[in-house]
Amino acid sequence: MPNRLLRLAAIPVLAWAAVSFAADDYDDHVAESNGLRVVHAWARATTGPEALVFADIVNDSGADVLLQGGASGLAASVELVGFELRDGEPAYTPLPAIPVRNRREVVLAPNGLALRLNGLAETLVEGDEIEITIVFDVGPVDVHVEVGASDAAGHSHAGHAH
Amino acid sequence: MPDAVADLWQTLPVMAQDIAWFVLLLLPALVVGIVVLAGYRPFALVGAILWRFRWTSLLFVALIAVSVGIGVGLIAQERGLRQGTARAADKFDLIVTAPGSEVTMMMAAVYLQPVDAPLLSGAVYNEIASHDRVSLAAPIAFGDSYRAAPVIGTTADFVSHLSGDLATGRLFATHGEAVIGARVALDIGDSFEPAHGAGPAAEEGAHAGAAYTVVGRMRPSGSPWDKAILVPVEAVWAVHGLPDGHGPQHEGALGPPFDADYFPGTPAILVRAEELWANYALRSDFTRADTMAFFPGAVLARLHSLLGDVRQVMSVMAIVTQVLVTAGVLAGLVILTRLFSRRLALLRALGAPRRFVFAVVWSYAAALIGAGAALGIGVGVAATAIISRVVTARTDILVRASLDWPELHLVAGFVSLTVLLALVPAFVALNRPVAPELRA
Repeated sequence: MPNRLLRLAAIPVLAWAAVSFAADDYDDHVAESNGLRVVHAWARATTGPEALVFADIVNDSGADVLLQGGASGLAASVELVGFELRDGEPAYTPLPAIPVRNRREVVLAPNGLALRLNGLAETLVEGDEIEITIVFDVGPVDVHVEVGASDAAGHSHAGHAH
Repeated sequence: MPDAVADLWQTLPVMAQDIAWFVLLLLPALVVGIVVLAGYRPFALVGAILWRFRWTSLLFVALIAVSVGIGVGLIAQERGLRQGTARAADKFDLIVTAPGSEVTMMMAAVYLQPVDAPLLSGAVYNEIASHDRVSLAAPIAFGDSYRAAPVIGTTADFVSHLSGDLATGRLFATHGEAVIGARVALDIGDSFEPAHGAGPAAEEGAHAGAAYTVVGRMRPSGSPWDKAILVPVEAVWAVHGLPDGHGPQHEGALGPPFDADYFPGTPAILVRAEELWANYALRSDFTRADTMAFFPGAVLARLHSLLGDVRQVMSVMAIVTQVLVTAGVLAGLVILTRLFSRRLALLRALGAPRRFVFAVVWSYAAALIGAGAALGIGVGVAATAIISRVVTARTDILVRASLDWPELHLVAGFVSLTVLLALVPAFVALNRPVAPELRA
C-alpha cells in the first residue's frame, strides 16, 4: 500500500519535471520577440577569432522585416554575411540588411547566410552555450546559441518542431 | 604565451603563414643536418661516392622523385578540379527549378548532364522575371542534342551573360538560328537537325525538318557550355509541337516577356541579381512549395567539403606512399653501404672519427632524398599538367591545376621525416667492425 502511494505521488513530480525540462529545452531552442521567432541557433567550435552563427528565422510579425545583423558581448562585432565561392574557395562576404518576408522563413546555414562574430574574446568550445542578439529593424531578439563540434552540420535538435 | 603566438599568427598575411609553415616543416631536417655535420665538411667525399655509384644513386633519386611527383600532382589536381568546377558555375548565381534534388538539378542546368525534370510554368517564370530585384531571368530548356552537343533553349540575354561578346558572328534573331559553344565542331553558316534526347538513346530524325543554322560562336568559358548549342527557347518548344511562349498576336517574337498561357514550361531558370544580398533575398522568396531556389556555388561547396575529406585522406596516403618508397630506398642504401663499407673501414683505420663516417653516410642519404624531392616537384608539375589535360578532355571542365604551398608543405614534411629515417643506415654503417671489413 505505501508503495502504491509513493508511485502515485511520483506521477505529478515526474510530470512537473518533464514539463519543466521541456520548457527549458524550448527556451534554449527558441527565441521570440516582435512576432519573430529564432529557432535552433548554433555555432561551430572554433580556434580562431571568428565564428559563424546559424539559425532558422521565422517572421510571423504581420509585416516584412529587415534582418540587419547582431551584437554580442563575446565579440567585437557581429555582421550578416553571405557565402560565395571565390576561385573555388569558400568565402563569406558582409551583406547589408536583407528582407524577411511576412509569414516566411529565412534559414541561416553553412554555405549560405550566417551571422559572423568577429574578434571573439575567447574561442568557442563544443558544449558551450553563448548569448547573442540578432538585430532586426523592428527590434532585437536575444538568442541562446548552442556550440557544436567544429565540423557540425546542424543544431543538435535540428528536425525537432518548436 | 600560446595566446600571444596565436594572435601573432592571425595577424600574419597568408603568404607569410605559408612560408612559416614551410620553414617549420623543414626545420627538423635542418636541425638534424646541423647536428650531424657539426665540425665536419664531408661534401667532397659524398660527391665522390655519388659519382662512383652514380647509376644506383640516380635510380634511387628517380624512385623518390616519381613517388613525390605523383603524390603532389594528385593533390594539386584535386584543388584544380575544385576551382575548375567553381569557375564553370561562376555565371550561375541562382537557379530556380521545381522542387527536387539540388545536386541533380545543378548537374543538369550548370553542367548539362541530361535529366528528366518537371517544368516550371509561365506564371512562375513571369513572377521571377518581373521581380524588382531580378536583372536577368533566363529559361534553360534542355533535352535535345546534336551529336554529343546538348541543344539548349534559352534567350539571347543568357547567351550574352554567358559569353559576353561573341567570338564570332552574332546572337540568334529567329527561330531557326543557333549560337554554338567554343568547342562545338560546327562553323558559322552550318545547318543541323537536332535529335530528341541525348546520348545513345537520342532519337535521330524525331525533329525532321527543324533545322538550325549557326550564326555565332561564344568565347571559351572552360565549362561544358563550350560544347553546347544555344537556340531560342521558342524554337525548342516549337519543334516539340508546343506553343512558342507568345500569343498569336506576337507570332515569331523571341525572348521575354512571355505569355503565361502560351508558355509550355522550362525545367530551370537562371536568376541573376546585381547584388549578393539580393540573390539571398530571391532565394528566400522562391524557396516554397512549388519552386526550389538554390545557389550552385553552395551546392558545389557541399560537394567540395566531401572532396576536402578525400583530400585529407589523399594527403596522408601520399605521405605514407612516399615514406614507404623512401624506406625501401633507405633499405637499399643499407645494402649499398656494404658496397663501400671497405672504403668506410679504411677511413676509420686512417683515423677518421666515427662521427665523420656517420656524417658521410647520412649526407649521402640526405643528398639522395633532397635531390629526389626537388626533382619530384618537377615531376609533380609535369604530372599536374598531364592529368589536367586528361580531366579537361573527359569532363569539358577546364582544369588548370598548379603546385601551390600545400604541395610544398607536403614535400617539406616528407623531406624532414625521411631525413630522420636516414639516420638508420648511418648508424648501421657505423656499427660495422673495421678489421673484418678491411680483410674482406
